[in-house]
Amino acid sequence: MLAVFTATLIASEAIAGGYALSGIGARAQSMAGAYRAVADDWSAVYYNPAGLARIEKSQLNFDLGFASHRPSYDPDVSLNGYTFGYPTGERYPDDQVTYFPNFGAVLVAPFGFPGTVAFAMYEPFDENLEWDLYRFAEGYNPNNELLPDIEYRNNIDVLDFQASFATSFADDKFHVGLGLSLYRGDLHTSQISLVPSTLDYKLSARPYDMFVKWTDADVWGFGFGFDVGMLYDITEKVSIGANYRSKSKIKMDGDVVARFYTPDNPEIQPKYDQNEYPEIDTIFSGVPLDGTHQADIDMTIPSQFGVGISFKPSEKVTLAADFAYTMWSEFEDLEVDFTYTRGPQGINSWPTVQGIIFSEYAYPYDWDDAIRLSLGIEGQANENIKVRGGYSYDQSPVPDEAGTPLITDTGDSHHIAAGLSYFVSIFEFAAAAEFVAMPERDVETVEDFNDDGVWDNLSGTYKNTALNTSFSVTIRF
Amino acid sequence: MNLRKVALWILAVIMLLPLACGDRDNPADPEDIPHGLVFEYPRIYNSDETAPGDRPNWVNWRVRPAWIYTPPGYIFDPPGEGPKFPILYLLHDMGAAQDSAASYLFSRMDYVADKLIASGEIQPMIIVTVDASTPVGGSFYTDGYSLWNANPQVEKRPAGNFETMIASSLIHIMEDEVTQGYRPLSVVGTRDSRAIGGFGMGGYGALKIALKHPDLFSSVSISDGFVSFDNGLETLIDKVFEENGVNKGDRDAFMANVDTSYSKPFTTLFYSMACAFSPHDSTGDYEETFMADYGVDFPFDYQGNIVQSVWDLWLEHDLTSTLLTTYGEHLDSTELYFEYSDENEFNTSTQSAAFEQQLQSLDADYEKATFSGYTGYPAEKGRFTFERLAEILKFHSSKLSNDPGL
Repeated sequence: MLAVFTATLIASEAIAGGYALSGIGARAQSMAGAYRAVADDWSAVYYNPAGLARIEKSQLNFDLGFASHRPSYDPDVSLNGYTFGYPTGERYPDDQVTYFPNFGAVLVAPFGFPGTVAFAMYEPFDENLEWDLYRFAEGYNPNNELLPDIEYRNNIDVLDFQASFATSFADDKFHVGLGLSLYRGDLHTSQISLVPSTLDYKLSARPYDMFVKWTDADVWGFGFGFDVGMLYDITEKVSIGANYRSKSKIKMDGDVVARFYTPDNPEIQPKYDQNEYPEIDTIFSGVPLDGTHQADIDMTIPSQFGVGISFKPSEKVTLAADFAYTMWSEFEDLEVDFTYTRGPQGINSWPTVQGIIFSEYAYPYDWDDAIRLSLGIEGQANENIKVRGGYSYDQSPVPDEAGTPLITDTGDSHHIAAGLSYFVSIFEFAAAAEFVAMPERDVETVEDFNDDGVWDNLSGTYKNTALNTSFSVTIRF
Repeated sequence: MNLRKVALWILAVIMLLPLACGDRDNPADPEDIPHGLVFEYPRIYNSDETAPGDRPNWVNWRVRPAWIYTPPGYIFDPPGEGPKFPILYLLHDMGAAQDSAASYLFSRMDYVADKLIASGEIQPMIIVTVDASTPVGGSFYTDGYSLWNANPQVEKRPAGNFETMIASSLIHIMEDEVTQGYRPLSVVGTRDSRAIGGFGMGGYGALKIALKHPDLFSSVSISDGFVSFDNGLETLIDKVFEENGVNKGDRDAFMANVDTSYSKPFTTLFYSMACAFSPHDSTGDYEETFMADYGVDFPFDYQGNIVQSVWDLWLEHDLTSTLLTTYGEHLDSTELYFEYSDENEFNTSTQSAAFEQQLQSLDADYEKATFSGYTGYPAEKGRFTFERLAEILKFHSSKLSNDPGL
């Protein structure tokens, strides 16, 4: 049961900038995240923990989100017209409708405590992509069956186990809150890298100019962070809120496989002196060679600052606006540091092979800080029903030149959201739907951002749209 | 319908929305294509001479292997029963013996041909290449001299009858003769169905042989060929000194240290050409240019100055200044394609410009292409043979006839 529950947690999609999810909670989501100055349910733990102090009744919340995103990639991985093995034509990842549950418990003044305490578990960051994109360059190795079914994979899951506290001052007009987060991070990422050959010029002529390397890292770990917020009710109709979420580093470790897909050309080996070129027969054997490693990887959760304002023009209507600034530039790279390595027998006399499967590597993320602007509205339709709508503009932290199939974010996105709540007795049933429109991203050429000789992006055309829905049940007592 | 029912309907619709997103199918991989066959024909002779008994290792470079690609649909058994195909003879570039003859195999000529045939971009054809390397790097597809008789002190013997080997022995064995248990290939066997092409040194050889043997080939291709010695080679002399760590003017070092090797492409070029065009003439006054280890005269001396008498010997074999003038009329009945890289280390772009000018002065028809590499990987050192082979095959396919009646 625990395994099933855990599996559901890690199957979800990034539909906002970078690896961030679009938000949590059906109510906040249906207002497009314009919630920092509203924040009066369990999802305040995410938007603004100070809002917990406004909650009048203790509550339990179960939230289930569904996401269906529709990325596509049309590879154009070429330099000056020369191709390297990525067939052209629009391709799709493994399409999935994924779901992710969240949970929150809010206790108002428990045991006479002067404030509100909340415990929540939710997923603020996620990416889930699996692609079958690569075929060997023509003439390199005829056996494409050797390649894994999924060459490109990026499963990033960050769960936030958060304990929060909030209280009020100044006749309950000024509220402050603090959340302490324990992050559980899981990362399973795979990709093809093309490593320039260092062999003599006759042996590194095309199609042997680039050796094919596949890496697969499966790691997990923990990190810590905090979230502080304030909320001030200027008048009965106008409130302002702000929060700051700290940067955090999740220290992960696990297994890494680095595989060298060797070219297949049996005609070469007999022409060369084995004493002078002791690894030629191995390098051109067509046989995959694995380096298996244990590795450490640190993943940074970027800090974020946000402010919001809400306005109630009438008893039944709330308007809200938010601004958030996420420091994605803190998310510099994922460095893979080997703590233990093992390779095929004989590798000690194969320097070229060693250089490919024993080299530590890094995934550079040359990302920028990004903003998000949100507008939301909520109206009371009758005593049982509330309806909501919202729009947000979400700036992409990913520069066009950094586009890869491992990122769903294809550019600055527009989010249109709507939803409603239905109240029966102590229950509130809420639903939200959010459509995310992203632009087409053209990555014009491959680039090596960290000067390690390996391309860090993939050129071509990327597209994406996403549909995110969410349902929640809240029990107030 | 009251508001409550509307709300329930909306909830239901929202819940079902994600399920409306179905799976999308990726483009299917191309189906497996028919493959031709590459096999080795072990013995092509480049000389009629008998190897001297005290130097048995010479036999190894007197007898040459050839590699043959037969297209899908070629029938070996019963012999002569299947369709007949046009044939293309491809001449390789210079290089060390260990890799030069196999350069087309390195480039997987079978991969390239299979794909182009399957896509209909070329017609099925037979492709033949033969080892024309020498101990110094290459033969330049020229009939050389028997230096071991002229100068017994010479330890290595770079010469051989390579032009004759291609124009006579190879074609005869491939197309006509049953030898050593091998049957001739199922070729159409006409001039219109026979082509020749080459890379670098092979490009030079292809046109030279086509011009001098006009009854054999209907189309010629040259890729990065040495087509004009007078335009670009002189500037490479300095690189020979650099490669060998010899200062200009240091006569003793020049005579002792300028040696060909795998890692000295410019020295290899000059030795290869000297073996083909200026084997040492002991009756002349060539003391300053005699490279005794190989029995050849260099066209420049230890100071890097051109020695005109030797250079003139080279120019007698030059396509642009001599062979086109002498045999240029044969281009009237021969389709010509040449291409060059603007990054080639042997200045083939400069050479090709002079070559093209000469073609224009002769009012010859030709097709031309240029190519470059990519950033950090310039089109030099034969790196792009794989890609260029496709273009070469397309050119010849468009010109070759498979009609035996023509």
